[in-house]
Amino acid sequence: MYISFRGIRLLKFRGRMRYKIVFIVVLLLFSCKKKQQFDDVKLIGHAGAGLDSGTSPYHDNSQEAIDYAIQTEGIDGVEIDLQCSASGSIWLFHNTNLNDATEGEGCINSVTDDYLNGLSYGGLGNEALLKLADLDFPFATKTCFFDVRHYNSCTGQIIDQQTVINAIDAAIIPFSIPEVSVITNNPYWVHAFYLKGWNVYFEIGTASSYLNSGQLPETVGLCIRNSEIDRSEVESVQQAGKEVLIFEVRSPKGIRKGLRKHPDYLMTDNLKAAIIEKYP
Amino acid sequence: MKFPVFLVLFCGSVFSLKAQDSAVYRLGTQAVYHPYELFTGFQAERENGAHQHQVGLAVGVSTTFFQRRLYPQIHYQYAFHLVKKRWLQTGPLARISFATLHFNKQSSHGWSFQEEAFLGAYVGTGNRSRFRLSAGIGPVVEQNWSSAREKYVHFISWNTFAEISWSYAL
Repeated sequence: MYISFRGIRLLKFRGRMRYKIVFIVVLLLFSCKKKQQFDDVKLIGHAGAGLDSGTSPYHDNSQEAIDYAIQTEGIDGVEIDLQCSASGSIWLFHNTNLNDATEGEGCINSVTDDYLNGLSYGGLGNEALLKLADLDFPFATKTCFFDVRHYNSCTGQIIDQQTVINAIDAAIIPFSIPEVSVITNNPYWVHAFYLKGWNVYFEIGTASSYLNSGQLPETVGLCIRNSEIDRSEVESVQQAGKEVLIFEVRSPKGIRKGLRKHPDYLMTDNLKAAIIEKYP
Repeated sequence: MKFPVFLVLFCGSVFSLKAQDSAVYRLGTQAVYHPYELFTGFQAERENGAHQHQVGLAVGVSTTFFQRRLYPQIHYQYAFHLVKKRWLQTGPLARISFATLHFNKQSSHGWSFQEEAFLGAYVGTGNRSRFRLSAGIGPVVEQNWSSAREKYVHFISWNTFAEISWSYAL
């Protein structure tokens, strides 16, 4: 083996020497790579074990998906999507229309509990639509975020907030959740959640609009897309004494980018990929 | 511990089959799509009349190559040629597979074990050099350690696979 420059042979390696050099180069390459620590970032399962993600064996917002996520070593909690039915009960459902994911029709807000009781998600698993009051969540050490929907897209109306608060209150009494954390993007809903003593995370498009909004004193933190915030903005929010929850984190590359911003929570759609990146 | 045992069984099965008789033996490569990962690797086959036995060893592409965490999967497949012509082979298949992933290096329990069983069908073309498409559906049992319950817990769900493979008769 030769090392040459513009046709002039500078060094010549023979026999085992060439293998030693290759070994040393490989060793240097790997030893120079510093592993980052992300112990300060808590991993949260988006809608249970991931939304629209092939990596979750179960449908989002189902009891099976929540069990799977919170019993995966390295996951610190889950986020679930809450909608209020016409009967005044809270149901776990992400999409706007029932026919997007079940055999039912209409919006959750427009149908009664009797109608929703018989519904299940399409697909092989056939998981049942879950009512918040029926959720089995016996893990006091795990976090559970409630993403509360305020809009009925079938009627175009804002839902009565007090009805939603009363329904959540009634449903979570049997839970052992030490504190309630809610996510909302409706600025008019923040105050009433705050008065309930719940931790409020405000979902908004940019970090600067959050820092300049009137929601800052009554919220615990910001909920924002991974693509809409960078490391310096995360630091700005944290320096203001608020937490940052980043969502829309799917691919290993996206997870890596999210972790390097050091948010307080990373809401992921790919649980195992996120754990691998957190503990490289 | 489980994976080395399966690896020994895998290698042993290929060589023991070769020693038995004069059936057709094939070696090939495969890409297997599961909803949670794309696996790619090698396969060995023994074909005797309408019966075909196959063993394969593959790794998860995204996890192994993009996250540098080895995600091996081995499988055994039995297939029966309902139609066996020079340019067309088709029939049902049954497959079992096992995969393991050490996803959490922080924890000694951060392993996941997946056992899958599939029923499906295949269609192939070619004699000595053969391309084949296979697909199947079946249950998967995943075992993860639950720190909350302090034991391994089993999660049963449904899974599918689709495979494209190429093999060459020795």
